[in-house]
Amino acid sequence: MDLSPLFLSLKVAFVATILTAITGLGFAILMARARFPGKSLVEALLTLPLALPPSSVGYYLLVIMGRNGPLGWLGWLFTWKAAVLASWIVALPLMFRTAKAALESVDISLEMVARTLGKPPWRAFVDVTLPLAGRGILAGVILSFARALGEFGATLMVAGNIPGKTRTIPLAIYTATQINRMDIASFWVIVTAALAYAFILAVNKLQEK
Amino acid sequence: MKPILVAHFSKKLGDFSLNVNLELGKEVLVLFGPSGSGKTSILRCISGLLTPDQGLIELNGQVLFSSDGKRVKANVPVHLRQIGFVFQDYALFPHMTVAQNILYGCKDRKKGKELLSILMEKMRLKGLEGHYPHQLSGGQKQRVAIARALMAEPKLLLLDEPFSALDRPVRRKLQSDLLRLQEELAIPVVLVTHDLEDAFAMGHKLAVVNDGKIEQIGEKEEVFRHPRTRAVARFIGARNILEGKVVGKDEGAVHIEWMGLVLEAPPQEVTVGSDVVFCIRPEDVMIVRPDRPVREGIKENLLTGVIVREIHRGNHYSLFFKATSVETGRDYDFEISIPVHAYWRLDLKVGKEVMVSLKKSALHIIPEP
Repeated sequence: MDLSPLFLSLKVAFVATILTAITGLGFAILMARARFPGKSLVEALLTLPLALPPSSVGYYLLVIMGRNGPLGWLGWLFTWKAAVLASWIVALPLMFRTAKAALESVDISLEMVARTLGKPPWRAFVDVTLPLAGRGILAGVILSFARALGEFGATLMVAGNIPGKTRTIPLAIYTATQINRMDIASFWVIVTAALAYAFILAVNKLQEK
Repeated sequence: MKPILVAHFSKKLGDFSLNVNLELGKEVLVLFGPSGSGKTSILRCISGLLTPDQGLIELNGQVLFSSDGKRVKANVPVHLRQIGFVFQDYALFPHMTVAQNILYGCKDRKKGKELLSILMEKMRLKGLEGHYPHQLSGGQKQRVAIARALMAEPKLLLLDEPFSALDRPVRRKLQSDLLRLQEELAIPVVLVTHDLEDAFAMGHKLAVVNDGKIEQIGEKEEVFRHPRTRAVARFIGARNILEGKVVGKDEGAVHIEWMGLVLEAPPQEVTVGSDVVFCIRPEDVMIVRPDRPVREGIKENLLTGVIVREIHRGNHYSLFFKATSVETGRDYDFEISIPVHAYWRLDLKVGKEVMVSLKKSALHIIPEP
């Protein structure tokens, strides 16, 4: 049996999660701390992929990465890199919102005290707020990984369904049912269910006090 | 003596504004006032956590903040001000042990270890080094918070309601430890409280804060004895605040007419014929012993009346006295505070007729009512 969808899914999800974790945390810090005009609009924009059908996210990516699009020169369309971009965009709101909530749950007076003890604002943030928000941030990372692993709609649009190249587990399930190979489909369904269940257990564990 | 802390500033905060003028040497200043009067905001402005609109803040001659309202000429960031700040809820770092918390602001690791054991000893925290904040009692948390602030060797220590969450024995002990520590360190301390007893116990100097403004600042005794405004008199517990008219004065006394009675107060700058507000603390209303001749010092301002109500407050009684020698139309005229032993010795009870003296030396005319 061809196990390439498993390794491909893990590779895509892993790279996408790194991207999501860095950018999502960055936006979370910005949105939790900075004040600027139009902040609520930016915040809504960052959450948008959560509410949009993944296929319309895929459509936008297709336009951007298409031959005449601004990122067309990269030539990433229908490669695993396009799947990474799709997973990144779709998982970003989860990471951003979880991390922001975690940062905001830390009492701001702790950072103030750290500053009165001689630490510049960034040190106070790194020493106090970041570690205290750590579990929440990690929960965001795991959720992002799970979301990236399950990405289907946008990936299908921009990466296609090329066996061994861009066929991830969700695509493999879809393909198997199309050709009536329920044995293959149910194998992948069990694999994804087990992974997803493990992730949810881990997130719950992190979020309990 | 040149002051160490100089703070003259103002700041608009929502619908009220802070207006601060204070100078402080190596002593404890208590900012005393009701909740919401802006005491905490004053501390935040001094520490740099809030930026005043205009004014000047200096510590040991170094300008920390200066602005004429248009242009900020100096504003030293919080972490360079060397001002210790102990928050009301302690704000201990929950992910660090007691030792890690205290060492956080330490600049010199080697010296820090030494200082840590001294502070643990002095703040009665020995043996708790490895504990986490959630394993500590309220009093211990407060001690850790103070030790942590002192580790950074501040030039000024700010304490926001340091005793409000502690029960009485814990509070008393901490108060005496703090006073001793302040003497050893010889740094100015500004302490915020809304509790009159704490203010009495802790301050060398007292500032009464009301509506964002320092109504009066001075030596503790002076403020307690001679409130300058009606609000100050009320906050410091003068209790008996009365209105009268100056009918005469000589080098020995000011004569005030109150309800057809002429009372004597110590000499003060007043105009004869003007209306005045005057006050007397409940512990300065003396109950005259009927079995003895009235002694010197309380022979002025005598009134007869009845005790109409009493409240036992533990170590003293609050008695409510209604004068029968004058008709005021109120349900009681004076509140009297009397120690429990005196209450028993005088065989007092509700309904009993007594003679009281409004002790002349304690009768104070409020200059700016």
